[in-house]
Order: sequence, then C-alpha cells, then structure tokens
Amino acid sequence: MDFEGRRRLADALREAVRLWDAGKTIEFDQSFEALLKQREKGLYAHVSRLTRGLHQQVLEMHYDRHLAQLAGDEMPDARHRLDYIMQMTEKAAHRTLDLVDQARAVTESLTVAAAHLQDAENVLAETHPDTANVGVLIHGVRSGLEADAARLRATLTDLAQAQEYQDISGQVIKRVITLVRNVETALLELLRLSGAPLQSAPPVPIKPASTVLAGPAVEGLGPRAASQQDADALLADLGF
Amino acid sequence: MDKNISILVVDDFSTMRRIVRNLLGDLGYSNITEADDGRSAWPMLQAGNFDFVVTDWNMPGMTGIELLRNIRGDARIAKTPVLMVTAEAQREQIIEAAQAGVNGYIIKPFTAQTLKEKLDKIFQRLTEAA
Repeated sequence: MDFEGRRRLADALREAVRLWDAGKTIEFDQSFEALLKQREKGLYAHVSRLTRGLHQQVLEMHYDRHLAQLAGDEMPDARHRLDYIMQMTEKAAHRTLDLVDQARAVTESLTVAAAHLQDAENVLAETHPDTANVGVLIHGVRSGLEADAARLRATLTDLAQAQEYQDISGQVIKRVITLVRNVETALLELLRLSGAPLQSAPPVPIKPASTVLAGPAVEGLGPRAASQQDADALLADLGF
Repeated sequence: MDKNISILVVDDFSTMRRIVRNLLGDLGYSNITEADDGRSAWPMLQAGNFDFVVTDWNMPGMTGIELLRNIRGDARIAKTPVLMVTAEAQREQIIEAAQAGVNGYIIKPFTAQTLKEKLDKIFQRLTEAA
C-alpha cells in the first residue's frame, strides 16, 4: 500500500471514530462497511494482475511445447535408433569374426599344400625319383592353391563389405546428436526464462524434423522404407 | 564393357568409399577416384574425364541429388551415367532421383551381387543405346 492509500485509510478511520463518538451508530456501520469493500477490491485487483502476468509468461514460453515434443516423441525415437545401431554393429562384428574364421581355415589348407610340396621334395631327393609321382603331387598342390586363392579373395571381399555398418550407424548417430543439441538449447532457454521471468522468449530455433532427409530406414520407425526389390520394381514402372 | 573406364566414387564416409572401391576392383574396375561430397566432386567432374559416377545421396556441402541435377544440367557431361548408392529409401525419393535422371538406384546396406547387377544393367543399356 502506498502513502496516498494509507492517508485515505487513516482519514476514513478518523471519520468512523468521529461518527462513533457522535453516537451515530448506523452511519458508523455504513462507513466501516465501505472501508472493507474498498480493501477487498484492492486485493482482487492484485490477484488478477498476478494471474495476467503468469498467463503471459506461459504464452511466451513456447519451450514448454517444444520440450514436450522432444521428450514425448523425439527421445523415444532416438532411443529406438540407438538400439538399432547396437544390433547392427553387433551383427557386423559377428559377421566379421565368422569371416576371419573362414580365412583361418584357408591358412590350414595352405599348410597342407606346403606339406605336399615337402613330400615332392623328398621324392626328388631319392636316387631314382619317381617323377610321375612328383607330377601328381605338384598338380594336387597347384589346384589346391588356386582354390585357396579364390576362397581367400571372396572372404576378403565379404570382410570389406561387412564394414559398411559404419556408414549407416554414423548417419543415425549424427541425427541423434542433432536431437541432443536441440534438447540442450531448449533446456538452456527454459533456465534463462525461469531466471528472468519477465523477459520474453526469442524466436524458437528448433527445426521441424520433416525438413531433413529421411535417412537410413530403422525398422518400426517412420514411413515404410523401400527394399532394393521395391526400388527395382518402382524404377521398372517408371521405364528404367 | 571396358574395364579401364574412369569412375568417380562420391560418399562422405571413407569406409563406404573403400567398400565401393573394393567391390568395383573385384569386378575388374581399377581406374577409380574418390570425392567426399558433391561440392568436391563437382569441379573434379568438370575438369576430369569421368565415364561413370557412383554417388551417395545424403552428404554435407552438396547432396548426391544436387550433384546429379548439376551433371544433367551441364551439356559437356550431361550424359555421364550416375549410379545412386544411398540409405535414402522412401518411395518419393526414388521417384525424385528417377526424375532427376539417375541411371540406377541401390539402397544401403547392399550386396556385391546387387552392385554387379546394376552396373551390368546400366552398361547393357548404354551399349544398346549406342
């Protein structure tokens, strides 16, 4: 209450006391009633001013909505994408280890070939070597080595290709990093607003997800993705 | 098809470029150059004599679809065959690539067999057209 308010209250009280001293009880009651009404009106005005201010602040804090969107939709989406990466990298690691086992089997076969060459050498070291037998041994070694080379080549190709998970997982991780950055921005802005509640929020910088490329398909997320067969069929329809 | 043709592989992931280079090598193509996105590929395409382009779609700088449109829009190199190898797998995107004039579309992850099939198909069509 300001000075003017207090002075008016004091005046009204003095008037009430004067009416009481004069024995004017009815007038006294009326004047006191008016005084209480005046006080109530001031309280209501104060409450409504507070309410308006609060409402305005809520309106200005768009971040409420964005946080709800981030927490409700985009967080579970990101979690799902990260799960997908985990499964994919695990699968790729197993595939790589299987292929390493295959390559190891080839080295065993190479050792066998070396042993056959040793046999051939031993035959040649004899006083009267059976050259026909050496020919058979060498022929066996040659065809074995050719097969080993082909197997090893195929295994190495598959090994190289098993590394492509890095490309797909990298793209998914980049998207999740963008989401984390958006959450961070929104939380910082919320903190700033609650620290200085009378300032209004700046334009909201969060981009809707639909403006970016769909990216790698993740099972169970987003619109159904085309398989290679779907793509081939679609392109065939378009005359490709 | 001549195995000495000059091929430009465009992808922002180096592992993917290696994989594509290895697969192409297995198929007998050894004259391969790499670029890490459309922006670095574009001057190379304009300066060099590339016979074939294998490109990703989603890349920083210049995307694969923009690179494709630029190639088709430049009379000197407009006829260069372009094979898109991408994780983008929405129906609309495949149509968009087709409309931009792509010669083949491979969805990641892919197999060596798929790459061979698409290359064979593209070269077969080019031979028929010639």
